[in-house]
Amino acid sequence: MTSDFVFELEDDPVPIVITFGTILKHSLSNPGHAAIARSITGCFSLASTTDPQSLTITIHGNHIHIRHGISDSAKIIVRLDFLKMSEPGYKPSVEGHWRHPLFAYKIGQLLNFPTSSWADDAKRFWDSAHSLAGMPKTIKFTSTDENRDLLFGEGDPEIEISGESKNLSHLLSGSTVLIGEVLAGRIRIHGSLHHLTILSEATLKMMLGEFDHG
Amino acid sequence: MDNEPFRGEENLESWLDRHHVDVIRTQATNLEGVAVGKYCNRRKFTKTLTHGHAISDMSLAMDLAGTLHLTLWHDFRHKTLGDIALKPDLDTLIPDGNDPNLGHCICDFVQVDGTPINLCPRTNLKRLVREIADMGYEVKATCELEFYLFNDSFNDARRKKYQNLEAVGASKLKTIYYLRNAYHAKTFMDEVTKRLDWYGIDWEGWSDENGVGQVELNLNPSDPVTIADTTVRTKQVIYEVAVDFDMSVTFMAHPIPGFSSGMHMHHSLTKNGEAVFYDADKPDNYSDLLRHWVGGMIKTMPGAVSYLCPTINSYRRLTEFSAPPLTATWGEENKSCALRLISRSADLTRVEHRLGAGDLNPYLGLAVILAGGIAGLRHQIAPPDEFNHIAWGLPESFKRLPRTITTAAEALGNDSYLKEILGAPEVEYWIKTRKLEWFSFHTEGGDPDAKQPTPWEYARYFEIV
Repeated sequence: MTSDFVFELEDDPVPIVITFGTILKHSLSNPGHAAIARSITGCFSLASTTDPQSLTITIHGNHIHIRHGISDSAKIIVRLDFLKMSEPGYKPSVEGHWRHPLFAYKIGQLLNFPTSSWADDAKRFWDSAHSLAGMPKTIKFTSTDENRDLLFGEGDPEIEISGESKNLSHLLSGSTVLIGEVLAGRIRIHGSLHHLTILSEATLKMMLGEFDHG
Repeated sequence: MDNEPFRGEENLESWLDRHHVDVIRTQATNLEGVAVGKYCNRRKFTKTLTHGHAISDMSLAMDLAGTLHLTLWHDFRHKTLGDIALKPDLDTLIPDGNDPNLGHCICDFVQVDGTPINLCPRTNLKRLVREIADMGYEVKATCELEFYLFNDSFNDARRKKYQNLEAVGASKLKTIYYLRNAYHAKTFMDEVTKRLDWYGIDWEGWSDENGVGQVELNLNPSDPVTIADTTVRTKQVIYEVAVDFDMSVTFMAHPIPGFSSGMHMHHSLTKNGEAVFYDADKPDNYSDLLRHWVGGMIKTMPGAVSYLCPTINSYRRLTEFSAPPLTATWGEENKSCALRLISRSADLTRVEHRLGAGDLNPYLGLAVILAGGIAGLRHQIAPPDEFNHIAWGLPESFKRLPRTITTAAEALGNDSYLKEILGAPEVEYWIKTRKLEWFSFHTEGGDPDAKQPTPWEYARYFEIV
């Protein structure tokens, strides 16, 4: 449980800080990850290799502080593609690991977020978002690589969303926003502009931790 | 050829004949304060007067980069992307004066069957003015336009990524009212004021402002809708003269280090022609109505910041001792307060609202100011004590207004008065647009720690706001 961790975000946090706060809270509900976090003291920075976003996380006991930017006092700086960080075999570049090898090792474990299946992510997304105003009454998600459909709601689907499992998982767990994924061609939809917009808003809310999904 | 605007009593066809107008440029102002519209031939314009002529519904639902709002929804939109319409307001039809075949007409966004759209900034402002009229009052308002003028053309400015532009002026000193500085802008401003005269725009004067290359232009007060129309038209004229002169101009709130550009807004109320802000029987000449009006504006000011400072760049303007107010305060002849009251005589008594940034949407800016006043009257809100000190450099214990786009949006979300008067769906939609602006800045390359405007801000705002 994360209840014994105290999260403190910077004042007026930027999106990446909010997003990472949400991801970390979720991740620390896993007892193994919580134990790793409790064994860490110090701060580390994460910098995106795909855009200028960066953040610094300071862990001290059960207190976790997150702010934007790279800190001078960071023991290590991890440069990575945030979207790929949970993919098997993905190797971000790490500065400072020679000076702080154990710290770097633990951070590596901490950032290896427990993965959930796209189906679990889809269920959690639907549970969180289905009551938003304007949401489709029924959604069909299709994994194109698993060749598997999931239907949420009742009746015929008002919108169909399809893509590879990993892209669906990114989308439905708050790592990406629907419209961005559709424009990039990683996700396909069959539905109205209205529902595309409402679902894009819902995925943005997921990204910014505006749904309470524990 | 005269430059008389169209009068309702005249036959439209004969007015168009008399002015040789074959093409009418229609325009409406979207949420971001951007004028959008079409060049219509005369036949199309006259044939579609009743319900207006079609325009994509994205014209009212796009950000400053021209991207359709795809993470926020308002019920005026079509579920599969469709058309709305621009309905001409013939009271605004004027000949161009410079272009012998061209006329101009300001429009409201409506549905294709002519039904009003509440999200249209001009429609919403008109509704508030009617509401005040129903209370028996008439509002007069004006906007002060501030902008920066550069010798570089827009093409050159773009090539230079808007860096190291040559500001127009005699010196690099941050002076104000210096005639030597103003003279460097005179040829440009002569052309601007000539075109304003042709448009029938009642400008009062212009002068050198504090920033190097900064100019202020003042307009004669009018009813709020007309002054918002005039402000948008004037900005377009200034832009067009810059293009024609191979120069560039920007209404960004903070385009270069130093002084920023604001849009101070003055307003007053009358009833049957009598000034109602003034009461000669009161020791300070402030009427009870003025006190409630000010009380409402002060109470709603934290939320109003969102409309008055709409962009990421707007907030770079809010610094100590640089002219913009930082606190929800009011005072007689106090330019450090958000509300400067001027009560020298009944005729001159007015409120100068000093918070607005140069990049605001004048319809929304005036609407949120009037909404504050209406809230004050409706709920009999008493103002705080007059602030008789300098409202800058104050100890931390003095509450500041929101200083970021997100905190301002949050304050607006918490303001039940503004939602009640401006319309909750419209306020909620606006809040989402500000969140989108914030999100775009941070995820598209904006540097949250930059002390000066970032390349993202220049690319998004310099030529558009």
